[in-house]
Amino acid sequence: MAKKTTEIDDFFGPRSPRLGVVTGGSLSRGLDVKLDPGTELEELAAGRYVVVHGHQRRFFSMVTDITLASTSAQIAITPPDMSNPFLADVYGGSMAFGVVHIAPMLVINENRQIEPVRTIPPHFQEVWTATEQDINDVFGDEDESHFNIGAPLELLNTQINVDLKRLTERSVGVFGKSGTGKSYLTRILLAGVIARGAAVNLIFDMHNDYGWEVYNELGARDKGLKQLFPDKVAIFTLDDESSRRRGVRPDFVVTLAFNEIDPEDLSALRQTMDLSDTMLDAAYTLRRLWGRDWIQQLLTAEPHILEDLLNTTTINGPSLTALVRRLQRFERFKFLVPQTQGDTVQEILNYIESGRSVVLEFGRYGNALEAYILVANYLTRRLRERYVKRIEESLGDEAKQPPQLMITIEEAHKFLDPQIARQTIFGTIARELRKYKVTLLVVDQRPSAIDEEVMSQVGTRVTALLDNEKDITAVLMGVNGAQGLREVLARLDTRQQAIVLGHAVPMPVVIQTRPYDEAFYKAMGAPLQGKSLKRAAKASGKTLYGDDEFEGYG
Amino acid sequence: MANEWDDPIGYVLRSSTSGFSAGAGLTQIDSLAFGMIVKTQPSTDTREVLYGLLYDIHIDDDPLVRQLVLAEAVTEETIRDQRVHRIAPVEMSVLATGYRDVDGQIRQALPPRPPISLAPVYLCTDAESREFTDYFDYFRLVLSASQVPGEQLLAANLVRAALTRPESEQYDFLVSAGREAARLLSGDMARLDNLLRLIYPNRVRITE
Repeated sequence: MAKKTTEIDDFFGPRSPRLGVVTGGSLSRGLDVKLDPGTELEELAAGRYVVVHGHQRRFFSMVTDITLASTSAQIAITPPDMSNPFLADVYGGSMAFGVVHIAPMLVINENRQIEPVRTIPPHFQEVWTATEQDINDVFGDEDESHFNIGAPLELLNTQINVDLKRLTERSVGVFGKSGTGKSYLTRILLAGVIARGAAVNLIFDMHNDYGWEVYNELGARDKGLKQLFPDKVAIFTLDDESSRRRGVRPDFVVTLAFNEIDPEDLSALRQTMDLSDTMLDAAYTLRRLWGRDWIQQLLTAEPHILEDLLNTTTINGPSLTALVRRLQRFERFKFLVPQTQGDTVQEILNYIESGRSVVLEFGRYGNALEAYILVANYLTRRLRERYVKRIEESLGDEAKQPPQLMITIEEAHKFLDPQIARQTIFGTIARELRKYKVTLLVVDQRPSAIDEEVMSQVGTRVTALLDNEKDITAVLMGVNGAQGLREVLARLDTRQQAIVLGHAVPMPVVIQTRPYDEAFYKAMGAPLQGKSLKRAAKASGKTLYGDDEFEGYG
Repeated sequence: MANEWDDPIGYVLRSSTSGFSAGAGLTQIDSLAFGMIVKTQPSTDTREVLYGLLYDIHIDDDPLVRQLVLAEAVTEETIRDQRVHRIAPVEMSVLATGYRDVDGQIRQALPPRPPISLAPVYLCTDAESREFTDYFDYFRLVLSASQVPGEQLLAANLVRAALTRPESEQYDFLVSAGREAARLLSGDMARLDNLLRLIYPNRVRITE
């Protein structure tokens, strides 16, 4: 039978195959769609986009669940003979049929404007697979402020573009269980932010994943941000030896002075170093009594000095002994020196103000969580102080304001645990939003261990596979239609798939992430090297001279 | 094409809005079949047409037949003469399944009025059968009629209707019809199973 065309068809253009019709649901729970007999159930997947063509609007929706249903309980008790093809064709789709549950994510009105979902389509409206045009209407084109991070599942010719301005003006979370490609996702996001100049980044690079180069899962070497953006990225290192061994020439070797470590810097290490309240109180007392050199004095103090201390202050013996033992661990960190040559914080600030992102490599200290937390906390606290000062000084004069700064931290739950999030600088930054132009990019595999209030302030969440119920709940906290997305989130592939939701995208979207390959490097404007350069030269030669005449470049 | 109103197969004997009985000469027997769609006109307005499914064709005896079955030597000529000139007609029952209204639209519902006695009854052409069976609303009338073997009648009708279609459409037609029947008989799997087995296209070539 010829398909009927309607005014809505004329307006919205050609449609992909019809899937079924809306048979029930609600605004809060989502919609039930009875599939047409011809719709192949096995070809549907959680996370796929569908469009409900209402009377005046398109409801852009995501498949969140798929169920089997039948019109009669009897059929389940005495299943028909499905080896008979005729009976199979008759029963399939009529008495026994598929139902998909879809979550309307946004509405496209008659003027092709995107609106939030405040209503639902009436009964029996047709549901179609989303077309490339539908995707493009929602996610727009890649431009100066929109960056392609991948393609929606099964529509790989389209692209999902995140709004970089919205991405960077609030904190971002990249979540996923171990081995699901969090660093890979983070590198793509950071590359987009740097390429488009949406923000300057300070990246605390725990495992040397972002700076110069990194080995991917196939053992091949991927370019780091410095290679992609030589003029826009600087590599700082805490471990010069490790950097040079890996062939990296760092722009700056970071050292921190013992005499600049304040008790506040230790607060963030409360759990990692098992510091009790009395130990921290002792640290504050020592700082007050001995001044800036309190750590070194404590570590080199003669027994009688410690005894005097115990007699003249409220510090108790066991706490002091334990504090000394904890602080002795710092002596293993070669980047901690009695006196620094330069001001690392100012050096980072200089780079940031000139629009250059800083990747701080931890080298061998990446495996020492206390070193990572100490340094990240130490630097961020001071940077933020200076940022606040600068912002306050430049009030009313936007030209004087420092650039938007995004700070990337890994193992974020160690900084943002509910017990310490209120005391650490990272909790403060996450809660302040964009007030002082500093936001976080937190990378973590245990989002449930991050303070709830902090999670609620994470504007955009990019989430690879998670299978822990608590983690899924934490990531979906505050998201409309979260129940449906749970199923999607728990069924992502273990590699190169993620769900993006929040501030930077108009609606939650499951993406096949963009490959981080030569094409990506080229799109980022990185110079070609090796075989890629040869291939490009050959192609250019052919363009210039044709197949016959050109024989150069080997 | 022959005029579709030529050559009636019989004439209405008794009628009601739910169906009618018609009588025909025994010579018509070869053109009648269980499940066929027949038509008649219920009024003097020739735009109105009543459609129904033929069922329960029966041949009653008459006094001469009763005598002849007991006779010892009956010639072939006598038998032929009895068949041609017998005084009791072949009787057929028709279940009303729809009508064409004065506006030309086919409605698959009980007709507004029954046909009058002696109204001629005709077989539908293939084109008319196809047109009538393009929609399946009449299934409910057939399956809910208490006086007819519903599944048997509907199945016979569907197999005939399939054969009026091009080979490439026959299988899909039967599948669509089967799905509609499944919708209506979802609470009675035994009847549905019976119906589906009757229309299983073993005679109609599967052209998928």
